[in-house]
Amino acid sequence: MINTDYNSNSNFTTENLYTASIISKCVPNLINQIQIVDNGDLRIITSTTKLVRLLKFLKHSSNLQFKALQDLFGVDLIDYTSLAYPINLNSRFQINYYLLSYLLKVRILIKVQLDELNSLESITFLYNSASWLEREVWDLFGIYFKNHPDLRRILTDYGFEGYPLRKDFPLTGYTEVVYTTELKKITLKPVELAQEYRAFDFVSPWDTRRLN
Amino acid sequence: MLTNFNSNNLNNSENNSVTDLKNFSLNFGPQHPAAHGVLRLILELDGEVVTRVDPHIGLLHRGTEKLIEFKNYMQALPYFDRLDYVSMMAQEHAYSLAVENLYFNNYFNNLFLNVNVNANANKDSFIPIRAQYIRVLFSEITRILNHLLAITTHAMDVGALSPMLWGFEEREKLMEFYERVSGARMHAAYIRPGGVTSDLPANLCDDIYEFAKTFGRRIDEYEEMLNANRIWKQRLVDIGVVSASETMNWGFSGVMVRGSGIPWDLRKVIGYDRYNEFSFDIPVGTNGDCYDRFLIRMEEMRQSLNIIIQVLNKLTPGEVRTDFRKFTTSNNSRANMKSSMEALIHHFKIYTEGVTIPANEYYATIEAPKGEFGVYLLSNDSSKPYRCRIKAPGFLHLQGLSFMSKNHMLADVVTIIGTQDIVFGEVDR
Repeated sequence: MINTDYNSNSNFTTENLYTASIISKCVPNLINQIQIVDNGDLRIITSTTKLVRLLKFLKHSSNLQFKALQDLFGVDLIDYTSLAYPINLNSRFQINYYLLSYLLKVRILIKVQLDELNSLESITFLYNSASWLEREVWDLFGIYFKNHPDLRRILTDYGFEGYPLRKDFPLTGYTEVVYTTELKKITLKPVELAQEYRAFDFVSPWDTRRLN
Repeated sequence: MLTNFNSNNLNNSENNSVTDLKNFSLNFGPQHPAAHGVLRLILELDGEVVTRVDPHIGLLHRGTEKLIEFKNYMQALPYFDRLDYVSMMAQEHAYSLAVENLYFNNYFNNLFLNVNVNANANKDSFIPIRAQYIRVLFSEITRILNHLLAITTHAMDVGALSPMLWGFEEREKLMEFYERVSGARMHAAYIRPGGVTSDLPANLCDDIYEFAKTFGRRIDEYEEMLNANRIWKQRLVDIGVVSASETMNWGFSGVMVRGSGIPWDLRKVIGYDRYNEFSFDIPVGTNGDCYDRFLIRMEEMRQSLNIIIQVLNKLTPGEVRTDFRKFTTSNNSRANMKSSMEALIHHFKIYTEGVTIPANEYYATIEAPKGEFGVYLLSNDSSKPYRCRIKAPGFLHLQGLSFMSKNHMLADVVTIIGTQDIVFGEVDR
C-alpha cells in the first residue's frame, strides 16, 4: 500500500533512520559503510561482489521495498583530488545506483567503486530500467556489465570509438564528420580546431580552502 | 516481397495457396513528424502488429554532461533550457536547487568560512521568499506550457488538428510571460542559483491573472473536443496499458506513474521551494492507459492554474536574489561597478571565476512536467562541477516503449510515443 500522507517532514529523516537501521541490522556484511548526510540523504558504500545481493535484499525486503531504480550513472574519479570529501580514491570509477522506495518515500544512493580492468554484474534481471542505464554507462565510461542481454552503445554515433565521459577524453573529441564530395558520403576526419580550447584558471591564489 | 511475383512463383501458387508470410522490419524515423524529434525505431512487424521495437536514440546527443564539466556553475545553467526544450524553467529549477544545496549544505560545516550563522538555518533562509514564489509561479506556467504541447501534438498525431491550433495560441501567451521576465521566449535562463535573475516587470502579475482567469475556459474547449470524442477514445482507451508494478520496475515517473494509480508527486512528497504551502490535488488514473494519462494532463493544467492563482495572492514585495554575496552579485551590481572599485572586482570575480564550491555531492529531484527530473552534482573545491549527471524522465519512458507497444498495431506506436511525451533534447542530452 502506498502511504499517501504527505504532511510528514520533507527531509524524510525518520524514514531514513529507519531504513539505515534495517539495512545495518539485516545485512551488515553486504555494506561497507552507510551514511546519513546532513540534509538527510542516505548513502551506502559497498563493493562489486556484494552489490547484487544487496540490491536483491533492498528490492525484496518487505520492510523497505526499493522497487524502483531511478538512476544509474558513473563518475570518473581519476582527477578527483579533494581530500576533504570522503571518497576512496583507490579505484578509478564510481558507479552510483539511485533507488526509490515508494513505501517509505526514501531514496538511497548506492556507490560501488571499481577500476578499469574490472566489470560489474548487470542488474537487468532485478530492475528493467537498468538496461538502458547500463548501456549508457558502457557507452560513456566503457565499464562492462556481465550478463547484460543487449549491451550496445546507446548515445554515441554508430561506429563511435572511445568513451566520452572519461576524464582523459578531450572535450572536442578526436574526429569530426564531413561530407566528402568525391565519395558522395559522410566520412570521419581528425578534428581541426581554428583555436585551442581556452581554459582560464581564475581561482584566487589566496583562497585557502584548497589547502584544506 | 517483390521477388514473389516472378513467373515461377505465380505458377507455383496454384499448388500451395497459403503463401509463407514473413515478419518484416520497418524503419520508423529518424525524420518522422510523429517521432517527436529524431527518434529512429526499428519495428518488427507481424502483419500490422508490432512484435518488437528497438529505439535507436542519440541522434541529438550533444554531450551536455561533458560540456558542463568545463563550465563554471553559472555558465552551465543555459544548457538546462536546451535539454527538454518545452519545459525550460523546470530544469533550471532543478539545477538551481542542486547548486544551492550543494553549496549551502556544506557551508555550515566549513570552518574556514568563519561566519556565525544560526545552526538551524538552511538553504531556505538564503533564498528570498519572493524568489521561491516566483520559481513556483514559473514552474507551473512551464507545466501548462509543456502539457499544452504534449496533449495537442498527441492529438495531432492521432488525427485531430484543431487542438494543436488552439493550444499553440495559448502557448504563445505563456511564452510571452517568459519573454517579459527574461527577454527570451524559450531559453530563458531566468531561474538561477541564488534566486531568479530579476524581479517581475510591472503589470506582469495582472496579465498572468487575466490569463489564469480565461484559460480554464480554453481547457473546457479542449475537453469538449476530445474527452468524449469517439475517434479519440478509440485510439487511446486501452492502448499502452502499464500496471503499477511495471511503472516501478521500468523506473517511470510523473504522469506515467500517476496514470497507473500511484499518487506520487514530488511537489507533495518533498515540497521543494514552498510547494508545501499550496493546496492542490494530484490526479490519479485507474487503468494506466493512454486515455487516463491524457485526462491526468488535462487535470494537472487546472491544478497548475489553481497554484498560479494562489502564488499571485501570496506574492509580497521583496528581494528576488540571495543577499549572500559569496554566491551571487547584487541586483544593481552593474550600476554599482561604475562607481565602486570593490563592486567591480566582485562582479568580475563572480562572472569569471564563479562560485567555488567545497567538495560535496547532491542529487536534486523535481517534479518536471514530464516526470522526475534529476540533477546530480559532484564538486571538488573548484568553481566547476566535477561531474554533472542529468537524469531525464523521457530516457526511461522511451525504454519502456518496447514492452508498451508489444502486440499493438503499428498506428498505436505513435499514440504511445505521444502519451510518453518524449522530447529528444532530454533523452539524448
